[in-house]
Amino acid sequence: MSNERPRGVDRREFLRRIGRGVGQSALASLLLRDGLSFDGVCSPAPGRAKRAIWLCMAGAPSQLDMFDYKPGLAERFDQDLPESVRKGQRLTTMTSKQQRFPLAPSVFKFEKRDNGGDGAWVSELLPHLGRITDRLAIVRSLHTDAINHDPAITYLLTGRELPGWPSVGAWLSYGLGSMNENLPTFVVLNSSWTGRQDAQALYSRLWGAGVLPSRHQGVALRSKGDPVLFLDNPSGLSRALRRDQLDVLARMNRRASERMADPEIETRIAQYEMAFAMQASVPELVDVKGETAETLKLYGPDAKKPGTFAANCLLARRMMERGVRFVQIFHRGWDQHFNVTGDLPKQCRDIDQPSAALILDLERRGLLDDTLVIWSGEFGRTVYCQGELTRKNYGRDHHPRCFTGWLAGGGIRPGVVHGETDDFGYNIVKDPVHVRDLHATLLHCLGLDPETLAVKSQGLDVRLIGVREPARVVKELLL
Amino acid sequence: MVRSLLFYVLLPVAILARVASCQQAEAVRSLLSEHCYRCHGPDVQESDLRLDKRERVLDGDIVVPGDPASSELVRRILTDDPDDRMPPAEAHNPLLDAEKKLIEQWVADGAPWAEHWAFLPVRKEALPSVSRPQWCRQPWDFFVLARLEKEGLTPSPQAPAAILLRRVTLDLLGLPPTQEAVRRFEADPSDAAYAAYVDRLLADPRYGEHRARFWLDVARYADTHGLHFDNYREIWPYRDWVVRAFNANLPYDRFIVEQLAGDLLDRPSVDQRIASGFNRLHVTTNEGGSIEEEVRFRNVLDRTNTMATAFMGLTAGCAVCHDHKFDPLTQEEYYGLFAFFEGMAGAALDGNMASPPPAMRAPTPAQRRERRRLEEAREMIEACAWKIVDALSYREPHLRASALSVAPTRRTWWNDAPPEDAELHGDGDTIWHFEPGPPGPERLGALRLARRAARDALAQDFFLTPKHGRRLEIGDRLEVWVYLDPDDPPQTIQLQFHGKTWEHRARWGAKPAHGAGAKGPGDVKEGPRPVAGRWTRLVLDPVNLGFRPGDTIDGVAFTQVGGRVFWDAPALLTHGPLGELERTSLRLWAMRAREDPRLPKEIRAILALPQEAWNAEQETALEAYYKRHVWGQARLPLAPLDERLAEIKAQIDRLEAEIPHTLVSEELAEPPATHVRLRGRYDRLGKQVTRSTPAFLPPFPKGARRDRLGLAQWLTDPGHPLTARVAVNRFWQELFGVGLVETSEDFGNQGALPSHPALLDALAARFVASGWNVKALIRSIVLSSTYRQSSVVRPELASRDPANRLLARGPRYRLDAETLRDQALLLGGLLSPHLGGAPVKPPQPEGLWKAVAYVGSNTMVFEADTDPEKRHRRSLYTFWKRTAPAPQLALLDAPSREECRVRRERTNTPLQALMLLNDPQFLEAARGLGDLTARQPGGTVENRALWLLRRALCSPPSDENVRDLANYVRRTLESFRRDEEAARRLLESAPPPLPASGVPVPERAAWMMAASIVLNLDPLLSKE
Repeated sequence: MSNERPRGVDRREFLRRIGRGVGQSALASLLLRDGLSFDGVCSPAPGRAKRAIWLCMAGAPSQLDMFDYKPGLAERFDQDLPESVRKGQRLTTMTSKQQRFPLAPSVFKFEKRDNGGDGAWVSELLPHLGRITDRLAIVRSLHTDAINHDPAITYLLTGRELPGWPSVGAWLSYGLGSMNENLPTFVVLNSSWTGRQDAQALYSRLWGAGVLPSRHQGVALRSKGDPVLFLDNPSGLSRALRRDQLDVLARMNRRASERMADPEIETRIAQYEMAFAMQASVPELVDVKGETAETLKLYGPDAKKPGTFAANCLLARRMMERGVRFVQIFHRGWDQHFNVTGDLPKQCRDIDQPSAALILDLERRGLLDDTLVIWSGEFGRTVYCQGELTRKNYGRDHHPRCFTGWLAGGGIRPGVVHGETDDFGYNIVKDPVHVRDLHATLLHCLGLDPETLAVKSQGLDVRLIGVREPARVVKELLL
Repeated sequence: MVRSLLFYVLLPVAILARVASCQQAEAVRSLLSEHCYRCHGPDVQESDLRLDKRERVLDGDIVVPGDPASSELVRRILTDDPDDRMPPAEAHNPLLDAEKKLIEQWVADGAPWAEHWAFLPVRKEALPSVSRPQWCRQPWDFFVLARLEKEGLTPSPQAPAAILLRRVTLDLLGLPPTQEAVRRFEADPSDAAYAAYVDRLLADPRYGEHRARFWLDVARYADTHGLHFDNYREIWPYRDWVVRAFNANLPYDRFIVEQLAGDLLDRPSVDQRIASGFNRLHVTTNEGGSIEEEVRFRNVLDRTNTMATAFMGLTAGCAVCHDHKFDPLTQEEYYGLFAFFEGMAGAALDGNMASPPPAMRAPTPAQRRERRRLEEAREMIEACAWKIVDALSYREPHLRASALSVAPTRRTWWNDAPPEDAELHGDGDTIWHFEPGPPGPERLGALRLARRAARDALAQDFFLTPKHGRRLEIGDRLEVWVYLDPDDPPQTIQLQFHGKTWEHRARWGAKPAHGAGAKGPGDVKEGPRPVAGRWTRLVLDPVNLGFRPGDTIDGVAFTQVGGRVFWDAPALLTHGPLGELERTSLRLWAMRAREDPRLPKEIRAILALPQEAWNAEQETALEAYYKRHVWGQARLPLAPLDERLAEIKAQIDRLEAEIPHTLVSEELAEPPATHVRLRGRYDRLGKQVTRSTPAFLPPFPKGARRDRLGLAQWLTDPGHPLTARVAVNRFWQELFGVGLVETSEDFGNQGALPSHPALLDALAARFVASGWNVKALIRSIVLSSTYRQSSVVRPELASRDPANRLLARGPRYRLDAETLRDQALLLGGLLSPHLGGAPVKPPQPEGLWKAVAYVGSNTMVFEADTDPEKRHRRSLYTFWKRTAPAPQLALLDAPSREECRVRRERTNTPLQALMLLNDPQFLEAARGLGDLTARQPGGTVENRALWLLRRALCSPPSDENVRDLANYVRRTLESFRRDEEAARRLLESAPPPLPASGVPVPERAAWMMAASIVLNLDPLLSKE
């Protein structure tokens, strides 16, 4: 049989049928005991990473004020962006009617940080990340297709601009399956933010399963109320009473299973058991009381405030330890159309120390080697000013033609600065990395083949990297 | 596709050999499509090889019928040489050994060719002969049994009466049966009794609700726009239309026509226009910076793709960028279909509005009846009033016009200090700041309201006096004094008045301020900015700002963009209400009434003329109006009638305010030309195309209009090979869980082959011949022996046909999200019977909307309905926010409704378990069901446990289950008796109010938990 199932779907079918005899949960235990995942459709190549975290900066951070240092702009303050640079490329209708496109150099100081190689420029807004550039691969040449938030962030996290397609985490869940018996495979965390409060929306499609079975969708862990929806027993019902109740339920379901012989009933019994297990494992997960003062300090003053980006980074690390496959942390408020100098420092303060802490904490626990961490927004921001330009303040519009992100851990070569933009930070001049390439690289790091990880839908092989345009694994970023 | 092949591949070879040759040909072509067409198909022909056309396949030595050894195709798929092997390794799409054998065998058998089955006309299928015709109750049974006999299988026995009754009730109503119905059917399980029961279900209005629920996934119905703001969208009258259409058994062809083109029908009815909202259900956006052409393109794509998937099972979207890879649909043909939808009126962006035009007011049938009743009453009373008026004669008294020329009264809102008794607001650090400012006319006193704003920034002070608004009378004016600092003049100044809303603005200056882009009185441009450095008196006619006499103003806002501005002495200049003089003399009244916008148009036209110019006819008309509505002497006799009319008018106003809007389709007078979009890019125009349908499908009907109506007629032509097949397949899927074609969204080359091709065609043919009669179709299926089989998985079926595609047993699968919730509410005695209406918000955990919403979206804050009737409405009516659907739906595989979906997944997850155990709504249902159980008379614990299981599952429970449940209740009761406080808290964990019950608290709590067990039993969560 084994040489007869080259594609994932057959493996699932295979497992499903085997599972019928043993009971899915029992099968899962067997596989887990051997260090294997269960219910993934692929037999992944041995990748560097087993799990991943995506730090998603919704709203599009300004690369020009954080990573993409353009010293030459200082003397071009308020000069027009040369038409030879813009080349009539499309703009959003927020600035396309602007009379002028005056250049707005960053007011923030940059410092060249020692990254063990040629050095990496990082702005004063990111002191903590600046200190760990030797662990990061900074990509200054990311680019994407869409020019507005909704389609662009949908593209970033599902590979399509329109709704309806599986998210990155759903693909990982589908391809690799679960590594634990009592926590979800794919977890989503939303963070509070301190910059501009009228922030871009998120959509459940960003962690949805699209055309994949819905069990692959992300589970949004909440910072208020039950961390997982409906996790808590109703008031007055003790865990012992619940246990008794579930035992009776299982006995009666087992009788139904004997009578009807429908294998789904056994699966249901197993799922109720997992639900019961989660009622213990999830509170244990979100309770950070056991963390040392030193660890909490590492993540910064917000680490103990539920729902902050810092608290979520700490949770993400705890999940990595407990076999969660993929965590997606959202941080909103990055849409600085105006007031960059008022807003951006707050946004950076939210994420700088916690992101750096996450890398260091994973590293010292020996987890960084097989945990891939990605940091990015959905596109970049323009070098020219939107609205009023002064020496002290300015705004920046959407810019899909280049933006900066970074990767770390799980098979990524540390201390790399990849790609280059022109003197205006407007166009990419070297090593462009499309969002599709980023997707391909992520899948590759996790041992999946971006070309073959596919599901049939509407007659098509749906893939994260799409079907039309090429996508390449960015080998230069790999160890 | 893969599944469908597994279906063949997994069958033992002996059975495979018996697959009819046309099915063999189909299976082979499916394989070629799956593995070869990407490079050798309709779109691309590498090495000039094309494998989707018979003549090209049999060309040369590619395939030599009957001679696999000489056939290049066979050689290339069997070879071990990696350079020669097809498909090549880099395609990552190898053939399985069994699949290779199938192709080889097909060549050996003479390579019979079959055009793709779904594009060929529906065949009239004769009933196959079977050895046990007595088993067959409906024609469909012959097809199923014939196949089973061929496979050497036997059908399953009929399901037990109670299980069958529950199954058919769940399938037709989406709800479990009543106890009474179960008892009656168990007493008389005859065919006649069953058929009579089915007919009752088909006549039940809840039937339409349940059918509609499936269709709303296809139609992508939701209550928000779906993108960016994801604001409320009002289109629920469409949802109610779907319910009505199914209940009225609207023929399916009409169902298609009215949705695609209801607006284009001759004098369309309200319902037909509502139905045309189908084309408007796609997601929309209003994101700032969006490029309108791109958004419009996407909207039209969605309409086109939805039409193709919903009615034809075609994955037309594959041809947006290039010719379809697998089906014979060219890119140009795609845009031929696209063109039908490109002529629709309406802006690309939704404006974040609830009803972006074109929209209509859509009264429900009940509202329409009520309005007619009120209008008839009004007409009757009006007729009486006119009789009285006609009997009175009017004579103009001798009064001087000068009697009226009194200067208006100036009622100043404030001067030198903020208005008294007002709420003061502003958006700066110092609001309502008064200072001496520049000198001005004495009337302005000593102090002015002063403000400064940064360049381009808006600044505003405003007040509200909700308790004492000022009533506007005919001819009134508004007056405000303003002074612009010549050293720092503002770019724009603006006054805004509050009536019922703030949508009454006047601005001076070009820079937009508040209400920018608003049409009409929301942003009236009064003129250029007043000259700076001197006091200017601004005078406004409130009628121009959207006010009418009788309205009240209770707030004014003083706004500026940039600069420094001084405001002073805002006032209302009023003549007061109509006085004695106007009520005595028509001519005096006429002088003032000229400014009354409320008068009928023809009266205003007369009043606009000089009084000397009135002719006799005009005088008569004026006199009649005056007597009826103004003249003092007529008031007394008319008063009782006018009072009654005022009441009716208030009732009509209330009714009108309740009438919802709904989005509809409308056609542009001059539709734009449609172009192929190169590589699917909205801005890369290729060849111009006209509205046309694909060549591989039947021709466009002769004489039909080239518009959406013609397209709908083309789809519903009885000769169309797809429409009826796709429809019957979906109805079959609703009843059996899987369609005869498993990929109900794809009937093309990449779709699954039908498990019973002849049955599918027989159903389709009968459906069309019956006049597309949906109820008749469903009735005939649920009356069949196939449907009535027991769903027990017999040992031989578990291995042979685990997915039950051969239909040797009845369907068994988990119920859909909506049915699960509705069933629980019904069993708990809570379900509201209310049909239709605005969407409702049953409780959900806090913060789910806020966690994702755009700040400023009107669906950011979720507020659950408090009215129990709304909380317990069927799930069909639950408010559907596309970016965060209710967890009770989303966790159980409901789609997001962001695009057309014709089937749902059925997953089985721990999160579902947690919800069914702990969601307060399910707990409330458990409490209700527990209360009902505890109150059963004459009960031992065992008897009550038995009642509970029987009530919920319908069939008689096993002794073991009764015993287990009874013992559980005893144990739990004991625990709750020890800790009555816990029991009370448990009872209160479900939403209030806690209904009164004569049963002691510990007992209630114990039965609540027992009911919760029952509501989580797999047989209850499943259709058996």
